[in-house]
Order: sequence, then structure tokens, then C-alpha cells
Amino acid sequence: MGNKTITKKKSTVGENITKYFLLIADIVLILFFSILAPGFLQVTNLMDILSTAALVGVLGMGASIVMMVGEMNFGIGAEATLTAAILGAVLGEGRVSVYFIGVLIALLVIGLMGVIDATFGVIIGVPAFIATLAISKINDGFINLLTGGKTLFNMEWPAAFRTLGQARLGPVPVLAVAFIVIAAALWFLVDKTKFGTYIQAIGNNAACCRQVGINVRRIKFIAFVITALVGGFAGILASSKTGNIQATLGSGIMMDAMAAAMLGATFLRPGRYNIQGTVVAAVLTAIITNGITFCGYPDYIKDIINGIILIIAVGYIAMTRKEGLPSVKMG
Amino acid sequence: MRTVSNTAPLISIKEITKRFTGVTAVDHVSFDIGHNEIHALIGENGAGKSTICKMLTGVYAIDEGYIEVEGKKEEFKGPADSMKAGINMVYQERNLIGYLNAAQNICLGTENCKGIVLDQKAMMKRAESVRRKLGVDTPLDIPVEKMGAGAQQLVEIMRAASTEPKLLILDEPTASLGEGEIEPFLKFVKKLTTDIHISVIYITHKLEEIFAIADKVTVMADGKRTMTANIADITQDECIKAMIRSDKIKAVTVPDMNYEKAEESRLLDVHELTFDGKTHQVEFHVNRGEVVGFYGLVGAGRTETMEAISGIRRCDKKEFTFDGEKITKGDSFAMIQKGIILTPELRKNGIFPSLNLVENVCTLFVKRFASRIGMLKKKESYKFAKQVLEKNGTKFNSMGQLISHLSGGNMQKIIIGRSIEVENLKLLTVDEPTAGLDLGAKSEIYLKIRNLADNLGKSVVFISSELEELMKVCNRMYIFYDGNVVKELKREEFDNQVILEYALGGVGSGK
Repeated sequence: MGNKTITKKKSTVGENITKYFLLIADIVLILFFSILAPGFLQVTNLMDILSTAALVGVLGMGASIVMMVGEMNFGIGAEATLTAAILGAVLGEGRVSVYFIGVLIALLVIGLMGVIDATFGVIIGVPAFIATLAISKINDGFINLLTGGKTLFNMEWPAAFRTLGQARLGPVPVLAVAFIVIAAALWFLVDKTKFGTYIQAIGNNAACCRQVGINVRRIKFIAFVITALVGGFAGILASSKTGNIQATLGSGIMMDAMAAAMLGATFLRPGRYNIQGTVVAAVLTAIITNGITFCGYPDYIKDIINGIILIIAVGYIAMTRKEGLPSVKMG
Repeated sequence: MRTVSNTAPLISIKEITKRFTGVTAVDHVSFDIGHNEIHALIGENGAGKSTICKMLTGVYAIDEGYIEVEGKKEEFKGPADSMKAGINMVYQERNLIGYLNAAQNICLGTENCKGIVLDQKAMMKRAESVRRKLGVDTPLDIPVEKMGAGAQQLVEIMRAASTEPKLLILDEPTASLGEGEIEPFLKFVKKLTTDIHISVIYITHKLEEIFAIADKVTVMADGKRTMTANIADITQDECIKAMIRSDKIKAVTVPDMNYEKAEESRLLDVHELTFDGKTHQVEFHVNRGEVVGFYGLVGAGRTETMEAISGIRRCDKKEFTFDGEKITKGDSFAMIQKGIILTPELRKNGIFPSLNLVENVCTLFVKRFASRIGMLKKKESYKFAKQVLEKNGTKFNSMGQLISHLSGGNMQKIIIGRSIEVENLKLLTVDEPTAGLDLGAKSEIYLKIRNLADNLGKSVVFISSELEELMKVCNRMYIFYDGNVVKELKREEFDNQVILEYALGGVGSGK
């Protein structure tokens, strides 16, 4: 009908700068710190950064899956800790000496926890952030039960317990490899499969999805389970890195992880959560943390800088995208 | 033309009825839709058009009667069943995923996959074949959020067409289109029936569109079918007559107005307002002790105008005279202080659903019941709330019950009742106050409005989509079309045919 009235708009330089701002910030900060402290650019330090980014990044990617469908999981930190605690408990009492079986059991339990999250958040219809907050309280209790309220550590744990977090393949930490593998797998799921299309579409316009016959509830349900599983795995990584299980293992990085997911929503596809963005944002946080420590500045500075970057980033999204982020929509 | 072996019509609607609590939205309606036919469905707001369509698409269950598709009785348990039977609908509001391109939106829910990987090429191919079939040239590879309203609509029609429907329902498809887009769109709809042989139910308010493309028209009024006819056999006037309800307007005690005298006591005087990026010609005034009706189609600007006056809607530029004072700015709080108050169109925006009756009445008067240090005087507010409720004849069990447990009519009585308690109230705007109420509750609202004007000397702006009630209650009426006031009528001049013509843009557009 008629003549073509829609012309393909070339993306402007300004658009590209905002799209790739996080990546540019990563590079600029690396250069900045390397000028301040020449040792910063050493391979071992860069690998350290990647290891630090791995924990926040994996937990953040887990959180971002459920945020994509427009929901929230505030219990993901407790779920990470619980997974590690279960693993520690089954390994420690010597019932299951094989590490892999321990991991499977821990993930199975946390997968069920995701099912419970989804049952309340999706089927019963409690606002998800309230439901997950309440469930996380129960999980806190179980964590204390399993750890006895102390840092859990056992000399008899198989060496494999520390492989993920401490071993290296040549100069590359296994933790960084795990980070990249999980990121690649989730990127594939989100960007290349039908399921990924649906979780993003539901966060954008659930009514539209219902109308074309997409089972919105089922997709949301699965998203909650994936989030719990990925979050749980982040807990296993974190405990492996320290070699023990601390009660604050998950809750300590949960806020950073959620911030990474939100910050990531400014990357590549502004206004939409994406795995690539979460990865780049987690790396940014790690660079700042590492750089500040490396240059000998006090710790609180990193919190201030991270906070400023986050509030500017989400402020930018709120100003430029009238629909706002899924999961944190206003009124 | 496709040869049709089956002589039965494509769709036969047989005596279908839908009731909602207290209201019969569709009352034993029957009509047929033939093959390759554009069947227009018209009627005032609330006449039952959408309810019929929602029964056709399986969104609503049918209370009585049934639907036949090509002579076969069908029962739809949900939209999926209806789609399977060959019925698909494009809603008035857009249902698209903004960042996906047209091809991805067309294939949404039915994506092609190679293994587990999305097959973008296959989807593009499928979308292209639909596009070719419909003979449009909407680009398929850019995000739909970057497209205009017309192109977005075509994407939705392509999505509906990709399910190969026999009947396509279009709900006010031209409402979101610009002037230049409408004519090609109408040609396109016509081509749907001639080229790919699907029938169309075309819901619209615009009579000229119907006469341009429809084969048949069914007119609804008050939940009943008042006419089905071939377009060739009827005139626009006959359509308008059929849209007007049959029951005659009863005489209500509206005292005669001495307009000359009333003009001396003008309360509100408005010429133009600029909001939503457009300047609206809203030349109207309200006198003291007068009920003024605002009539027009949904979206004609009635609510927006009064929201602008009441300080609720942000204005780029406003200037009007109220009670002898020139007003150019002020939010809703400031306006209430001046004596302008509006009760909103959606009843749910006028109540606090999880608060009780006392709280719902007294939130407007917190200041009055606060002690010097800001403590709320419980007893006094209770007494006051009880007074308001009794004065307005509200039915309730206890003052502590939640307002959301009351009926719509009682809620409305509370909303209006507390508004008129505002000290120095001068102008009350009631926006669709009777929507969804039964006849008894409606008449009580009418009496309340008249009482305000006649006995208390207040002024009322009465916004409604029901012409009948405006004619019953108002002293004067303004008709809105496309954001502007197009006509002022005094009570003596009320004539529903004239009013409808103006409201449908028939006169204003120079016809």
C-alpha cells in the first residue's frame, strides 16, 4: 500500500556511544588504572579481575533471566549460599564422596527452591519480589542449620571442591573459564532459541504474548527455575574460590549482581536486560574493585563509584525509554 | 471469487446473549456474515459491539445462544479454539513486541526452528509470503517500534492473516491512523475480501468509512440489534436513527433557564487549551447553577479538557477565567482550593479500595479533622463520614467495611458525596459517573446532579457517552469532535440526530 514511508534510520554516533558505553568504560578504566599503577596490566592481575567478575557475573546472569520476564528474585543470594551449604554438608559427612554427585544433589534441591519461588510468584500470584524475599528468610534458616552458624570447612572435602575456584589452565583460572562457558550458554539460550525470544517478549508485553498463544505462565515458571539453578551454581563457584562456606557468601554479592544486571541493560540493547551487558557490567565492577585496591585507595571509594555509575545508568534508561525496564516498571 | 459449495453463511450468530452482573451487555442478537463480505458493526459506546466480538473470539463465554461457522455449531473455550475455527481479531490497541522486527512479530508464538536454534531466514520467508499475499510493502526487517501507527497495524493484520483466517475482526482500525493513511487502508481492507477471500467484521464510529467499503451493516443499540441491512439499501441518516435508543426521553425536572440572566453569572470561561502537544479549540463556558453536558466519542477530548481545567493533566499552555479570576497555572490541589473538583472516569481512580468507608470519605478532609499537632480526630471524622453517607443514601453494613465491597452505585455516591462536601466547591466535574450502573442507580445519580445545581447553586460539568442521560439532565451541551468543541446546544435545541451528526464529525467536516 502506497509508497514506502518508513526509512531505515542509521544509528547515530551518540546512540552507539550509549550502546557501548559499558565496554568503553571497561577499557578506559583499565588504561586509567594501568597509568596509575603499572603493575595493574600484568596478566595475573587481569585474570584476578576476571575471577572476581565471575562470581558477580554468574549470579547476575541468573538474576537477569527472571528480570527479563519482568519479575524479581530477591532470594538469589540466599539460594547461592544454600546450594554451597548443601554441597558442603553432603561432602563433609562423607556420605557422598564423589564431588559430582554432591553438586547434582545441591542443584536439584535449589532447582526445587526455584519451583517454590515460581509457585508463589507465578501460580499463586504473590508479587515475586515479596515471595522471594520471604522464601529467602526460610533459606537463611536452613543455611544456619547446615553450617551451624559458623564458616563451614572440612579438611576431608575432596580436592575437586576447590578446582572450580582455585585451579588454573595455564595462566587462565578455571573460574574465568566457567564464567565464559556459562555466559556463552545463557547467551545462546536467550538470543538464539525460541524460549529466549519468549522470555524477552513477555517482559516487554505479556498481553501480546498471551494473545498469540504463548503460555506466559509456563515460560515465567521455567525462568524462575533457571534463575535459581544459575544462582545456585554461582554459590558453588564462590565457595570453591574461598575453599569454605560463609553465611554471607551469596548475600554479600547479591546486590552487586543485581546491579550488574541492571547496568547491563544499558548495553547493546538499551532498556532490555541482556547477558552480554551483564557480563560487561560485572567486569566493570571487578575492574573498579580491583583497581581501587591495587592503587591502595580505601575500600569505600569503590562502593561510591559503583553506586554513582549505577544510578546514572538506570536514570538514563528511565529518561530515554518511556516503558522503563521490565521488572522495575513504575506505576 | 471462490466457489462456495456450502450455501450456509460463513458465520451465523444465533440469539447470543451475554450478561454481566446486573447488566445485559448483549441481548439475544442474531445476524449472519456471508463469504467475502465486509460487515460493518456500529453503535454508540457500550452498545455491545466489543462484547459480541469477544464472544466470537472466545474471550467471553456465551451465556445463551450459539455461533455457527459454515453451518457447523461451534463452542469456543478460549481464543485458541476460535482461531482454529478460522476467526482472528486485530484489537484497537497495538499488541506488538516493539524491539522485534515485523517478521519476528508475525511469527511470534509460531517461530520456525532448526533444531533448537531460531531459523530467522525461514521466518523472514514466511513473513514475506504473507506480505506478498496481502500485497503490501511494509518493511519486515526493522523493529516495529520504529514504524508509524499505520505500518504497525499492517504488521498485526499480517500476523492475523498468517493464521489463514476465514473471518478477520478489525476493531476501529482507523482510529490510530493519520489523514493520509486512511484511504489506502480502506482499499487494502477491500482487497482482503476480493483477493484472498476472507470476510471482515469492521467495527467503527466513522460512517463514511462504512459507506466506502462495507457490504452490509449491523447496528447495535443498548445491547440489542436494531438493524442489519445492505449498504446499498440505506442512508447515513437511517444508520444514525438506528443507533439511537428506542425508548423515549422522559421529562425530568430541569427548571427553565433564563439564559440572559444566567450569562451574567458566568463561572468558567474557556477558549483554548494546549496539551498533549496540540492546541485545542475548546470554546465553552459554565454558568452558576447549571448542568453542562459534554458529549462526544471516546477520545474526542472531553475528559482531557476537564482534566486540564482541574489541574490534573499537564498543559503546555492554559488560560481561562474562573469566578472572575484569570487562571494560567496550578495543579489539582490548587484547583480544589479554588473550588474546582473532578470525579474521575474510572471509579477505581476515585477510591482507596483497601481502606474503609470513614477513611475513604475523610481523606479529602484530613486538615479539617487534624488537631494542632497533626493527630487525627477519630470521633469527629467518624461522625462526619456517617453524615455524608446518610445524606447521600448510601447502603452499607458498617462504617469499618472496605469500600471495595460496596456496589458501583454506592461507591459513586460516596465519591460524589464527599466531593460536594468540599468547602467553597463551585464546579464539580463528573466523568462517566453512571458507567456500569443499573437504571435505578443511574437515576439516583441524575437526581443528585440536578439537586446540586438547582438547590445548592453549584455548577456541574457532566461528561458522558450516553447521549440519552445528557439530554435528560443537562441545561446545555457541548459536542466534542477530534479534540475540539464543535457545537453548543441549549436544552430547547437538543436533538439526538443533530448531536450524533456533530459527534461523528459529519457536520464539522463540511458534509
